[in-house]
Amino acid sequence: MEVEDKYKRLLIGQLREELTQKEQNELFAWVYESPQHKKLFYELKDIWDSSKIAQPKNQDRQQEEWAKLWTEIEKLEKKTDTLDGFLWSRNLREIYKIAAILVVAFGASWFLLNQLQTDDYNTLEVPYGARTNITLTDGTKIWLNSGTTFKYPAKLDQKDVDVFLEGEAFFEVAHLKNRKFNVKTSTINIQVLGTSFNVKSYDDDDQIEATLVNGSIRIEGQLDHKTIREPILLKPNQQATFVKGKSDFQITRIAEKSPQEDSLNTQAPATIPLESKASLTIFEKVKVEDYTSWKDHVLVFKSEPLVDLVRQMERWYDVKIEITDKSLKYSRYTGTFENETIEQAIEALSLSLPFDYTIDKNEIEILTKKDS
Amino acid sequence: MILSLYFAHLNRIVFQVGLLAEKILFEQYFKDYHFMLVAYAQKFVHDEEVAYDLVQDAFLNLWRNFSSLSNPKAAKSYLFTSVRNNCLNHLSKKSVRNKYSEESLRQKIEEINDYQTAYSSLLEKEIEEKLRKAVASLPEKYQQPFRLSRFENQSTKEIAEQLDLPVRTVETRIYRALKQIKIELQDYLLLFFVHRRANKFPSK
Repeated sequence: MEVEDKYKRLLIGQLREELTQKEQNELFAWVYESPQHKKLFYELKDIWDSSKIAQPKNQDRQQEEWAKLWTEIEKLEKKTDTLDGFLWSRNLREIYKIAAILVVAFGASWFLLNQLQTDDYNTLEVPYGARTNITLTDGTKIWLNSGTTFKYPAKLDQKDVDVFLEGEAFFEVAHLKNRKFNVKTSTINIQVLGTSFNVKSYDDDDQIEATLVNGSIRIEGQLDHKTIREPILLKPNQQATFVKGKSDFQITRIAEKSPQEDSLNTQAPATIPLESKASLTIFEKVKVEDYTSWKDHVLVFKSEPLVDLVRQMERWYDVKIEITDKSLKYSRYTGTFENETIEQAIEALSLSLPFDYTIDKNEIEILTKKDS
Repeated sequence: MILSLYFAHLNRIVFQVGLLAEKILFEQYFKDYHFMLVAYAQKFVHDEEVAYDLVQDAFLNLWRNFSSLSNPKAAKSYLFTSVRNNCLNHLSKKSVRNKYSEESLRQKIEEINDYQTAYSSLLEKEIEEKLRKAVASLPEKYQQPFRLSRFENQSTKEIAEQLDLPVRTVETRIYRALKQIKIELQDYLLLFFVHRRANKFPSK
């Protein structure tokens, strides 16, 4: 984002506390004018404020503060000492303290505390149009795609770490000895031992995908109340695709996944699936970049029916897209979007398989091409 | 009788030992977080002495609840939360309110609330070393004004005179320095679109 010089100076002036009342008002009007401005202000301010710790520490002052604090505490302790001279409550207090010593000094209950606090979770919600990544305290890196909800425990140093995903995420799980890292979605569970992989599991999609880049993962779970009997072990470059459906599912293994063109083109419309049949397919030798490139802000689609592509684009660009011409729904598209705006993206699609469209703010309608 | 006296004495000793063990741990937390917390308080309250006092109060609060907060993560998040609350209380005092303009007071309170609910500061992420490296790797012409301004507390005017540069250039260079650090630390900066809260995952 380009910032006018005037506001650069005001931003710095505010951090330096050199602004007049009038200048402050001018700056804050700008800051709260848009989320981008506010974000920039908060980030620069946080860097400014935090960089204080990059200078040599004033140890003397810290010691002085500590001495002051401890004197205060000793006073406090004496007071409670005389207040509840009552022997029994004193005893209780000491028992409590002994428990604290055990916890603290010997670290024995450390483990126990872990167990007690397992249900303390953090939640990240990534709205449509945004993508983000986080690094957990154990070094695990996670990229989250648009429209994803991700929950993870506050404590990661446990034997079993369960994280919960609705949406799409790419994981680089840090390998910790004897630790099980489990990714749970509404349908499948994935058990991990230090590895990187992509999981796509949006509740409003018919298909769930797990793509392994390296390491190994174990998938178990259930599809529409039918438990997968044997856990599936994925090897690098394999992809498991689950299709939600009503009837029994079957497991198939396919050596090559759909033809891979590089340019934007279309294929003859496939027949519209009549009955949704639950299935689980394992593809070998998939081009994993196609499924993970979103984390580098590239939207890749290969032979994707328009109806599915549109759903991805809705999340990616935070727009609403409606296909009025039903016959277009299952036309297949292949291509990539990188820096394209939604307007450019829709225009590109409409050129390869002709259709007309209207854009009204963030609502897009795809219509039958009128002969001109 | 003698037995009960003996027990009372034993209690006394156990109490002292307990206090000592707690003190060692508590002092460790103080050493680990004091410096960060003072910087953190100064995010919201610009007076350094006030910041020291508010942090002192936070540690007192921690001590009062130490038996239930002795594990490191709980203690840390308690300290940061406590500092934010203390800052909020401080800003709501009438005598303090008069010192700030209405607009800047509103901004400060909003900022604290944002940090209560949505963001976490670099300070909480314990990346002191990375921050130090980012500052050290700045090109000299940005680093100098930044250091003078941030660490030596010189005004932009004084820096301009010292470096023989126009005030505007000094300001732009400090801005550039911050932008450069921002790029280096992008992964750690507040996740803006992200909504963060601790909650319980519903059991399915």
